[in-house]
Amino acid sequence: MKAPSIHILSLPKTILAGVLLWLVCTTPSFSQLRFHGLGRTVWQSQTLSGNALQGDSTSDRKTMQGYALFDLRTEYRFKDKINLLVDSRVKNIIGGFGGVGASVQLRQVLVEGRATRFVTYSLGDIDVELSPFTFSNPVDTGAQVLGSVFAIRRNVLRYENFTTGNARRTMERQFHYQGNQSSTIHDYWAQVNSWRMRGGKLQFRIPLYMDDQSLKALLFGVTDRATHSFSGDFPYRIGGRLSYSADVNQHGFHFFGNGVRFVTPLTSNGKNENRVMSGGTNFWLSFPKIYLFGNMEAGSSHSQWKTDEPLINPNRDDYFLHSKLALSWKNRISVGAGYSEVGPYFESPGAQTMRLTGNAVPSFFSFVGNNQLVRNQGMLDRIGSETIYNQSLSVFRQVFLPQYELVFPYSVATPNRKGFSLSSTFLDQEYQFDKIMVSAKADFYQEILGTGVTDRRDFTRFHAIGITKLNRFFHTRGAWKLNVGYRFESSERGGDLPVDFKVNSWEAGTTMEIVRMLDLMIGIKRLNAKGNEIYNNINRFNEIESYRPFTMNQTETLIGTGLQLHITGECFLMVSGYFNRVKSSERLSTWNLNQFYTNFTYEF
Amino acid sequence: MGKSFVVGRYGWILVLLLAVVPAYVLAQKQAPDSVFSYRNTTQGLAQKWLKKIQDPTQRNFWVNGIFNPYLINRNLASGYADTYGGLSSLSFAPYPNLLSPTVNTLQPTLALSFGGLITENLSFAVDYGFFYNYDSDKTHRVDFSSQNNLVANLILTKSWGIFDFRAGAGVMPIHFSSLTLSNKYIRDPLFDRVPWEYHSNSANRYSSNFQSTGFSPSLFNKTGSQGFYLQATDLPGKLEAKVFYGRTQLNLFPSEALAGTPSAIAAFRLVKNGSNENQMGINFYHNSSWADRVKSFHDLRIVSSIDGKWNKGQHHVKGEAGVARLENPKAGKTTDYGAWLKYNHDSQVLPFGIQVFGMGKNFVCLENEAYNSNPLYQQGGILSDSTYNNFLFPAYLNPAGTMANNRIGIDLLVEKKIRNLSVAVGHQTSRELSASGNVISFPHMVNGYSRSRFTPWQQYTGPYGRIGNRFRMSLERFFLTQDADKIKYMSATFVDLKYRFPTGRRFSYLTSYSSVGSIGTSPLQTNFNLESGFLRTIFQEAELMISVHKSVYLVGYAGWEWNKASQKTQLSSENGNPLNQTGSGYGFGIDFEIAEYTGLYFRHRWMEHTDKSFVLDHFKGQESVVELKISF
Repeated sequence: MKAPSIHILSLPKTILAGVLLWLVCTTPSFSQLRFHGLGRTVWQSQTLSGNALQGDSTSDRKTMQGYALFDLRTEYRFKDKINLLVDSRVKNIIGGFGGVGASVQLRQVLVEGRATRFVTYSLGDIDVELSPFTFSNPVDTGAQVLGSVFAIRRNVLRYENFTTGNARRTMERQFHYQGNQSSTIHDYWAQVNSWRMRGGKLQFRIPLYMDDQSLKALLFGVTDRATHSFSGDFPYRIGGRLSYSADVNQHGFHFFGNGVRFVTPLTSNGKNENRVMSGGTNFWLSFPKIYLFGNMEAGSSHSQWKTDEPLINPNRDDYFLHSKLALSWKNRISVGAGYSEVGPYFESPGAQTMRLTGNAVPSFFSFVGNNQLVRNQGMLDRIGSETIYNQSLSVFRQVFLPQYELVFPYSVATPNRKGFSLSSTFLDQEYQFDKIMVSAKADFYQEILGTGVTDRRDFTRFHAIGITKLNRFFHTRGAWKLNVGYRFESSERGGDLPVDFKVNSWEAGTTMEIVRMLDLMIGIKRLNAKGNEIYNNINRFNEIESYRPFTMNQTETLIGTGLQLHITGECFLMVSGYFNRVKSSERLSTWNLNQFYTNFTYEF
Repeated sequence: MGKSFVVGRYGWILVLLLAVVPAYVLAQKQAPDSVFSYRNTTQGLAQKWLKKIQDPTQRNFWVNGIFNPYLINRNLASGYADTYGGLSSLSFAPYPNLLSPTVNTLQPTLALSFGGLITENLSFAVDYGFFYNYDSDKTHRVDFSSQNNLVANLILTKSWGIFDFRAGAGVMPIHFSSLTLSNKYIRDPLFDRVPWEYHSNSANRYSSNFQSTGFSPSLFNKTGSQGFYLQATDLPGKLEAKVFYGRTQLNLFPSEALAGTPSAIAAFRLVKNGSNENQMGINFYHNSSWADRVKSFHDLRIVSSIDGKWNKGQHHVKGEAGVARLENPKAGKTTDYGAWLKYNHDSQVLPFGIQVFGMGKNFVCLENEAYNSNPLYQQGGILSDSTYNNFLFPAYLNPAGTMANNRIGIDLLVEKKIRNLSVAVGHQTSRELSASGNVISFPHMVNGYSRSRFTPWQQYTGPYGRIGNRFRMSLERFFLTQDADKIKYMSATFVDLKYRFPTGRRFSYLTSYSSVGSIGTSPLQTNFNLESGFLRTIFQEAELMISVHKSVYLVGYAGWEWNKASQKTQLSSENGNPLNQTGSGYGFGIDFEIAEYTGLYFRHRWMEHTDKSFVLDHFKGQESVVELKISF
């Protein structure tokens, strides 16, 4: 068993911490010193049963884990010029007493400030985002959760992976949908799309003659958060964005150009160098009842693999283009349409790295088949397993699970796609909903090049969500919310190697305040994935080497129920149970997982 | 491990110090009114802020703590071959850290509690414990180990007027009732300074001991736990409630617990309060373990009990009765009963107390106050390694005033304080309910704490595999060769004398503790005639604490024990004689209160143990302990 210990600080963090301490001790006339924090105790126990354990005498059937952690953030602001953030964590695993299984960790360190009137900088653990095709943490559509009983679990993982805020640095407990900064149309599909990286960035804002115009630039140089050693080769990413925007009487436009360069050393000697450039524009026209928004972006990628074998240095170039137009009436009803085309060899690690890794080992019941086979992920794993979130950007095409991500497994930047999208949203009030909100999206795409054959796949995706505040209809004293969602994805191809794979998924969740401060939460998610598809076996240069046909007939159900006691706005106690049933035609993939979960969280 | 290891592991501390020291000096050198002066630097203002937050009248955050390093130097001229660290060793913690990281030292070198107010009625506290241990085998100079451990405990107190809620993975002490969640009684000589000594200075400590009664329950009658704990007081109808869901350190052996083997306790207590501190309570304890994650061996313990106390004038009655349901692969499914009843009479002439108890052999709850004699239920679950089962006391010669399962017994305590003299006499006679077999056990009363460091936490140690070491005590078990199938009777008697006398402006104390115990097959044997029984033990201890200065106590200790078994027990292969042990301990020490809440404590002990029959059972040597304790 691994000995518990204080995690050794990495050298750069040590130096940075020392510099910070120097600054703290000597800097005169400090403006503000604040402490924030979060404490959480989690306890979960689960059982596994089903055909996946048939003939299995060694894999776990019952396990239990838990921890208590305390994050303390020290925020020091000097004259509104420098902001220092140091997050430290003490974590204790439940099970060991008196210190066994405990650790201390410097969770994040950030220095940000204003160098001059026009230049701001950030050093340390920073968030980086450009555009969905250049540098963006993709939307997690497969595990789109709406019910609170599931959302609380997923938000714990988002907090652990720092995807809780982009511009803001607060430790949010709940994710609040935030609107697109370039549009007043509320985008309820938006998630936090930045990657937490380690490095630095400079932002320039150059004022122009007119106050309503601005020229902005962003430069960054970062490495992956999971990088611990800076000796020898380590991955680094540099890039930037240049933008010009003007807004006159609520009409405006925004021109931008993005560029990013990835250098990633390979485990087998060599490295990958990737460059993605793009340019585009947003425009908006705002009238008393009508709001029009448009977005266009186009770009290219160049990817080169450099190895020690002189004849094996593949390189590829390709393009993408994307456009979208949306119209909103009184900000209550909005419709949109778009067209997107991504070349088959378009490679953009910053945009195509998956948020959740399909072949990651679940953190509980990791193995079945006498501990020989990794258990396939289920919906409960995707909202509750810390090991599944990606910590590093990947230049390799990662394994995806078609039942959760079929059409765009690598985000909208998925290569070899072209097609158009439609979307619409309805709110019962302007800018927000009082009783009901409905939003739907439909995507109709096709492969640009056939994979292994000349025939091309046709993709269809439809996704709809509805949120209603039932207390408005039934006039209950307490809050009562109902969320429903539906997702359909299909992949079809005729010809010599036909493909026909369909995924139907629906979910519903309700949260009801049964007495003051006490919520009852119930949620259900159900998925059916059926048909035949073909996996592309990718070699170390992202080239398709072979094909593996498979047939899947999987039905999955996840039910969650729980109680949440809101002790204060920043403090809650949650007790819940989850029942995940997976029935699959694949070998050792049928199992039942029941979990009892308690979570006590407070923030200050 | 060498210099590079030390630099690599602790270099970050050096970097921080290098940054802090010149920064501090630089700030100090500035003119007082300069913007760069210390007062106006961040550090200086932070100091002001710290003082402010520690001011109770302006408290939003607070920091408390205890810094408590130890130095224990042991030199044994002769001893057991399996003594950890060898006969001569140096340790920086009360218990040496075994090579296995799964066993911890229990005593934090530095314990910090950081807390604050989230809202007017909502406060939190986070406890950090830094354990630093460094052991060396001075003989071989090869066994160096150091380990830094932390404990994190989160406590949130919500004052709606009634609720106190805690959730943590460090160690949360909790107490429900004597038969459910509590702790075992261990008598600690005043000479030994125990971990978590809560008295702020020696005068308070010795005074508190003088005031305590002879039937002192364990000072630590709480069990360490992890998980969620909710306590509600002043509920409507004069009710109180406690709810707990989590684990104790006895649920599973630590390595199994960390591996995630399911094992959890759910417990609650509901109390109805009446006048005169009368009280009635209902307790429920449910401990569900899966001894084997794959084969689903259920290791289940359920204890339900009701308890109460009633006070009227000089009469005080307390009691508890419960039923235990137990299940595991070795024991099957069983149900058993247990109860105790205590009556105290606060007579002006002669206060006395009587306690009766009875507990079936399958009434097992390892966290409660009763010593468990049933080997089918053990710490860590039934399939855990019994080498580390600290909670098996087979046919144990327990002290008067304590309980054990598979027993019925009666205790009598008489206690009288006459000015500066306190006299307590106690006696227990008990018998097994069913014959337990051919093993009996008894504690080593002299040098118990020091002995327990020889091979911490392990049972079946020593030259004959008879010694089991637990927290602060050492227990010896041996076999019977005759009458093993008979019901055993135990008898324990103690006389506790405490005398207080003034020296200058403070009191000094002289104490004497004497005990006699025996195990046999009839009450007459146990109480009057050893030779027909199995075992007799005699223990005598004297302690002197003299206040020589307002800040200084000199302490002295002398203890002896004689343990003699009869021919009905296992005989030595060396000479064919039964167990015949003598043990002694002499010591002196100094308590130096350097400042308020700061003390330096020195102890030196000479100890020896000999068995005339089992000649390998011998050790002799010395031990010095230096302890610094700073509370802030």
